[in-house]
Amino acid sequence: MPDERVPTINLRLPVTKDGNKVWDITEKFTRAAAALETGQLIKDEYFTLFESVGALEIMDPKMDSGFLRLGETLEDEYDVSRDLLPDEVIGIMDQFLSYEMAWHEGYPLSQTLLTSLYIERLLWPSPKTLDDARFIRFDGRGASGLAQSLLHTVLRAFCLGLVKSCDLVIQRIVTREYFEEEDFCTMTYHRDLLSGFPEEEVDTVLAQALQWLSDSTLPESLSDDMISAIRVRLDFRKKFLEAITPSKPASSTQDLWAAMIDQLKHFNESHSLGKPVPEAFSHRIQRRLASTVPPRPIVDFTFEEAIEKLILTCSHCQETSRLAKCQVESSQNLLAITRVFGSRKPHPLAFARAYFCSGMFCVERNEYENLLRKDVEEIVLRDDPIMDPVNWSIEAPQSSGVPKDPRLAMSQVIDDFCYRASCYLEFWSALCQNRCRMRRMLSHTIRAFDDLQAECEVFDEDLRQVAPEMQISPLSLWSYHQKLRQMEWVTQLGFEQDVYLPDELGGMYWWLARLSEIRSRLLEQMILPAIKHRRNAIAQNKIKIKHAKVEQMSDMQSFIETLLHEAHGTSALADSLSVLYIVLAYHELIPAPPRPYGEAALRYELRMKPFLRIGTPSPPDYEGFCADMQPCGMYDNPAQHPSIILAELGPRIESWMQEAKAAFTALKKLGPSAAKATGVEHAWNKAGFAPYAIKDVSNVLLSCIAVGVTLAGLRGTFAKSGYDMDPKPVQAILPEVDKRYHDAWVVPKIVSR
Amino acid sequence: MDNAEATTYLSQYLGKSLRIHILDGRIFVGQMKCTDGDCNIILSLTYEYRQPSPNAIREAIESSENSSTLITLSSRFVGLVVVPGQYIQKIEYEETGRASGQYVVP
Repeated sequence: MPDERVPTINLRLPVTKDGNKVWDITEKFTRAAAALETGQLIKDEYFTLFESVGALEIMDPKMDSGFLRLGETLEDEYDVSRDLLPDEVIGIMDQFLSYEMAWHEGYPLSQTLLTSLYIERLLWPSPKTLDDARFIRFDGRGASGLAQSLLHTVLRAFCLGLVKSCDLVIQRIVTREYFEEEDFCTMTYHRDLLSGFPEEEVDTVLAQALQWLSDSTLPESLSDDMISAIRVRLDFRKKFLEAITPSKPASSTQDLWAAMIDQLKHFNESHSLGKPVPEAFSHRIQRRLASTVPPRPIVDFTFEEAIEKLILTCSHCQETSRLAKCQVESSQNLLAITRVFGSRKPHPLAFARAYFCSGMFCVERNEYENLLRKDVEEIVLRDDPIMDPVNWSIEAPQSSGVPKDPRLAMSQVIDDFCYRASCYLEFWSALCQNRCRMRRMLSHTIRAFDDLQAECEVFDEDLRQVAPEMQISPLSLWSYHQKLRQMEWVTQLGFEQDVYLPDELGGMYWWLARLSEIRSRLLEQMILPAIKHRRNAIAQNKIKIKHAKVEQMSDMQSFIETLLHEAHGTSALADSLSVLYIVLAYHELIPAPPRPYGEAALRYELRMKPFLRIGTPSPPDYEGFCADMQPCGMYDNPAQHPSIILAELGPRIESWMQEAKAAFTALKKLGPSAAKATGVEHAWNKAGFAPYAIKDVSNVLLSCIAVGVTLAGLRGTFAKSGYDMDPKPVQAILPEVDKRYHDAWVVPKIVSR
Repeated sequence: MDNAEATTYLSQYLGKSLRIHILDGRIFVGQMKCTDGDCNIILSLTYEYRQPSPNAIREAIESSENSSTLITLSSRFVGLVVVPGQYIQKIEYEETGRASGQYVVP
């Protein structure tokens, strides 16, 4: 209700510059508009109808976020300057933490933190100095009394710390090399989250508040528990802000994160001391934000859940910090670390991933070129004259008549190659995304690597001109190997994410087996012999590079061997599983959903979509695929008796399974250091249900054993009850992702019906 | 006013800054992009201004101890909007200091 006692006031528009004239044109404007014909538009020639569709309609309750219904007010009744009790301060702080984590989970700020009347008061109108950012501006009275100090010293410091850390979180996420985050909302609705103020200033405010808590003589009525609960919350904010300060390298924050995790573990206990103040939050503030939608309800996020997420995020950051300390030199090692980090379960939140990226990679493009050169070196060109650092120090001859130094030519070819291989950066970006997006992005990078491989033939030809003794085509081999690996990962991620239906698993394992088989042949027949050859050459001093050492080549050889064992094992286990699924299909033990309108050939095309445009290896056509997948005729009408099918195919399952077991055992024996997994050994050494999607080799070995158990179960059942029982006495169950030994290996279980 | 005259008159405001007061008391300030026979007006780069609430006015007066004081309107950026003709109470043309384009006859 308008207040009649309010005296006349002068209103002015802040945008109007002094002296500007303002004309009332209402009457003439409406008269002119009325003279327009129906459908006639007066419009700016660059303004399109298409653009106009995006305009918000004022007074439309669904579009106009400033539209107030009858009796609805914009202002909230809550008085931000009122005295606060200590338990209310704890309650508000805890509510902030819940909203902060809800935001980290992907909700917009408008439905979480920006619904706080306290934060709104601090941030709007935009403070010019940090001192301006207070709950009551232009207040000469100053804070006095416990309740006011709690409000103006403690809660203000907490809020400022919170807002500044949100600003740093956004900065960290948007400055990633590849920014396309779909799990996080960076929108700030025209509110400036103290981005103009250095974090040191905010840190000082927090330090002062902590100082006040320990210095001032607090009344006896305030229990020690209460004081320490407030202190630990303030201290957490201070530490968090310090840890995510951009200038602080990730390698130096490990202790900070550890301390925060310790603090957070006690938050749940002291949470009960607090008293919630729901009036301090209002969804109506959204009407004042630069938002295009009318207010939406405030997100409900429990404190327990928030603390759990926060502890998780801190532990992910701590892990990053530990890894950043390792000073990873090898790009293969970095790859192992990145893959293990990306496969952590529960999956790291957007901020933890951004923290990992900024901690492990430098933003400069140069960094990726070095990484790429190292990668090529480690797979195909270790201690080769082509990669000798000296090559990059040779200057081009002044006159064009002088022949070019071959070493210079080599370095130029490699530089050209690096320039061309921009997909390498995308490859790393893909690995830092969430799991689903990783699969989608890798499906794109494999195409880029396919193109790169074709171009590498030219680069290899150039190299051969200057290094005629070269045994292999290094760059094509490298990109081919890289591409195959990614194709395998795309397929395996499909199993992990349950992209394939139960009756499609056999076919997809068959495809995985083909990919790994090609890669293991590539490693065995091309890459490994070349390394052995170079090792001998170094041993006999035929290669003249300063730092070339036989031991390095031996390391290289064992690394390639680990790759070989892995590829070989993957191919054998995939083959074994594929045949197992074929047998189950013939015995009608795999549930096939009814598909009245589905066509198998089209479905096959859909599953193979990521690989259809790949030159080599391209997926076989549907007929060829069917011939391999249905060795004994149609599943519902087999050419042979089921007993013969099991007798024929059973031994194949078994022998492949044994082969896989042998390969993975050999890989395990070589160990994480040979496989360049230093820093993430724990993902290797821990058997059982480790919290990673890429699990340890022992878990793959368990999967091999599970295949054997399933086969034995199948044989036992049919030996006991014959083949023609209807309904079947048993059924095949596909374990859910958390109940598998390894996420990418779906081994069916035979259970009695 | 005939059609040609109206067209000329209205066209001169294209790209110019208009203040539109609407019935619920809000004011929209933005550049005019388009209008039609029903006087619906599309404004771009618009800011929304709202009268301060009675509480806020009282507070401001109390703090300044002066019964005639200046209060800035609460504003926010809303971007591209269409103001339907039926809600328009008053249209004002704001002559900005810069002489951009041709002279406008209000």
